[in-house]
Amino acid sequence: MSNEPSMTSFRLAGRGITKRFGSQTALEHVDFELAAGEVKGLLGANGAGKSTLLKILAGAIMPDEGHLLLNGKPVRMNSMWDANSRGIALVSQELSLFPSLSVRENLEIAGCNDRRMSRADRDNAARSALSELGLTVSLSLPLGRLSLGDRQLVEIARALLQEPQVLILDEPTSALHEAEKRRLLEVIKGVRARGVGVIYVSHFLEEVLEVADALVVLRDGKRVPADFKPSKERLPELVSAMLGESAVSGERMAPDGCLDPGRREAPPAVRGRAKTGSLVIAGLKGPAHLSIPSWTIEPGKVIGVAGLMGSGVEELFGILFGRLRASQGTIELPSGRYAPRSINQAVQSGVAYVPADRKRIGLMIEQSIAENVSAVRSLVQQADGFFLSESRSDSLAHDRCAALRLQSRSVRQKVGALSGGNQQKVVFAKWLEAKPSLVLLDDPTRGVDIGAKREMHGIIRGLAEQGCVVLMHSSDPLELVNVCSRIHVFVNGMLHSRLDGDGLTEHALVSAMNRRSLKREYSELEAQAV
Amino acid sequence: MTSHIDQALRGKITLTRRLGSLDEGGLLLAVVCLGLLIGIPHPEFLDARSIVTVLRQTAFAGIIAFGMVYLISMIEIDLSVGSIYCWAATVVALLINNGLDPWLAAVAGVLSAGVLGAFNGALASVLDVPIIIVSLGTLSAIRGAALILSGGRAITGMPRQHALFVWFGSDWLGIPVPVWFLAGVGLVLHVVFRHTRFGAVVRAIGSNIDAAKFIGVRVTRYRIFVTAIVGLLCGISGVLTLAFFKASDPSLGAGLELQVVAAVVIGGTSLAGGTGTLLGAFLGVLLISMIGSGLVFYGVSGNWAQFVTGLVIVAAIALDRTIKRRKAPAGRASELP
Repeated sequence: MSNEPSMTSFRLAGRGITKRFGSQTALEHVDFELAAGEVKGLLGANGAGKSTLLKILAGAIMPDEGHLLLNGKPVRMNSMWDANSRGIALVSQELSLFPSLSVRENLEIAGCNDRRMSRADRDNAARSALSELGLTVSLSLPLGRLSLGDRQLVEIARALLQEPQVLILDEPTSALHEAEKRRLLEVIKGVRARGVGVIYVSHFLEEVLEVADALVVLRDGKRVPADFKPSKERLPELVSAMLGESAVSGERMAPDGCLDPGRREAPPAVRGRAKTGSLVIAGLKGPAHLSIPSWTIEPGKVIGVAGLMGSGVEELFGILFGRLRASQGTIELPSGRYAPRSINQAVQSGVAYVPADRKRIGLMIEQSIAENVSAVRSLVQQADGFFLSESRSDSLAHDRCAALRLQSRSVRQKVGALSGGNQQKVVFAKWLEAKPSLVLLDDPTRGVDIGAKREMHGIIRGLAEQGCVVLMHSSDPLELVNVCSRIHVFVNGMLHSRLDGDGLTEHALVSAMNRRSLKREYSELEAQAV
Repeated sequence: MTSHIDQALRGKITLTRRLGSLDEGGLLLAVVCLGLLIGIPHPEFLDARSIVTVLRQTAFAGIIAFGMVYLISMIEIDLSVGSIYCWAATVVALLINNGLDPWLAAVAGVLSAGVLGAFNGALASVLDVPIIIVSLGTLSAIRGAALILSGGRAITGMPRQHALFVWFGSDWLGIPVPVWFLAGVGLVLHVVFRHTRFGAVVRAIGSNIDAAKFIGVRVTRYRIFVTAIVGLLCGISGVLTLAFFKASDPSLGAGLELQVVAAVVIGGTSLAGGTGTLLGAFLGVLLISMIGSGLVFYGVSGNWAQFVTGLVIVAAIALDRTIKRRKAPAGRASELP
């Protein structure tokens, strides 16, 4: 303790922070300190209290006990606006922007911009903040037209424009691609050099280890007392600190989990279709220069498809799911049917798609778990007839959720009340109910904590073992490497390389994905010139 | 909904508590309060005859309101319902006057109303705009068509002895036939809404249209289907109206659309979509009809009628929401398995 710098040298500190919600204690006597020019990684599993701590530090909620010190002086912040005006900016996990407003309006709405600046000056500042993050878009474009990743960058730019003393980043990279992530990490290092204190939260541990100067680990609302220096060698140790000892073996159960212990060891009950054909693609041409002369994917293994934005992966998934049309070529689905002409046909032909954008297209947030789980089976495949029995659909949903170890009070609970990991399990449950033979996974574990992520990976492998053709795409290359037995890399719409066996490493994957992208930029420049 | 059924099955609960646990309980209380408010100083309001009159008025708008519950829970509104209602009554009356068999005329009128409804849904899908926007146009186009056909005059001279007018225009077991229709249509549409695939798809579209499209729900097809149902209901209501009044008027159903939307929303169907209640819609229409009769009993002058109607509606909503808010914690507890 004596070696610690004195309290006044901290930019932001919390002492004995305690917060209770009803009978539950979210945070218990947590000390937290952030020096000027320091990047502090905040780690913890879902429900460990990270979000609550961030909300307190950002003024969104007040602690029940304990106090905050800003630049050594005690502060009471009773709103985010209050915290904002004291130089604390939060980039939250829930994107808090306005889709129908323009990029410019979204950047200015924070209200901390200097009103004396001319519009041109403000626009220049906005443009340079965006381009520092690698985003070049028109400021008058409605935000809703941007991709999820670009929106995230706008949100970060908004925080940077406030020139904060303390910058809080909660899962800032969940929708970003590798190159954008790299750039963001560089920006963070730049901000740190200007003396800003940064609090960084991410489910990607490697990312935190790379950027953070020091780590704080929360578990069950308490700060894990050990001191963690960020280094890759200590990753296993960190994971066990986050999850508790039992987690290292891959088993983590909430004490109130609704499952009987006997089922824990059982593999996820995945009822695949009897048909176990291959996915056969021949002479396929589609949007974004997508061109696949001949490709057969056999069932039984998790196959990764990787590629940067515009590499054709998104388009391939779109064609297989009936959202896009191929201009040429034939596709034979594992169920024996041909290329779907609509999503409805795709679903009827046994194609399932777990999308990245869970809230928007993955779930009906206001409906119950049971209604979500039975949606594909009973509404689209019409497997339950015209009259629907609530008790039957409840019991099917209950069995499916139990097999996926979904933690909830009842299947009548609203999906919106679940944690991210459990919500994603509902998405999986919904598609498993459809008994798919081809499963497309687009970032299936985004925004999910490491324990739930591991369970998802088990579910995904189980699907393949049951005889489904499984194609997986992820914004996290390491995840692909860990889960897939083979990865096909797309560059500029072409199948560029194939990684398996010893060649299946994160390094090989990232370099394969980025190959020839220089050449592409060059050809784009040429195209613009013409 | 389910919680009170569960409790009832366990046989532990009294009728009053069951009514209290109903989502529509607050509105029911508002209806009862209004009934007493009118009935105590003016006991003749509670006579069988005036109750029957109020119920009959409720039936004409109520049948249409049931369809509107489906639309509003899909986050859509059709403003042309009053015009389609008028169109159906006018066309049937004209066909009968031109010598067509009244039964055939009625069927033709109802079907043409269904087609007009489906047209709203189809046009909205083709143009990719909400139905409310299309119906802003069809609202006056359809009424205009009815005006042109009727030459702007009321159509009378119906064959009062014909079975259509005798049956549909009279009472059965002391209750007007339109009220039986109201009950029958309401029951069927309630079951469809709560317990069938069709209803579940409608609610799914309303709760997240993008998610529904993403699992392969044919949203366009359902939208057109629901607007067709709304059109058919307008047609049925129009024929029943003609059978009762034995005449059609080009101003029939003017302003009905707002009355119907108000009734559905007062009833508790959320404008945010995904949920709806037919019982609530019925109570909403009933409340509005009762206000209309109450004004007569109290002798409120024509100039004040609209003003008072508005105040009573706002008071009813306030009462309903206050009760819901009080009940909220208990409601959440009952969700536990």
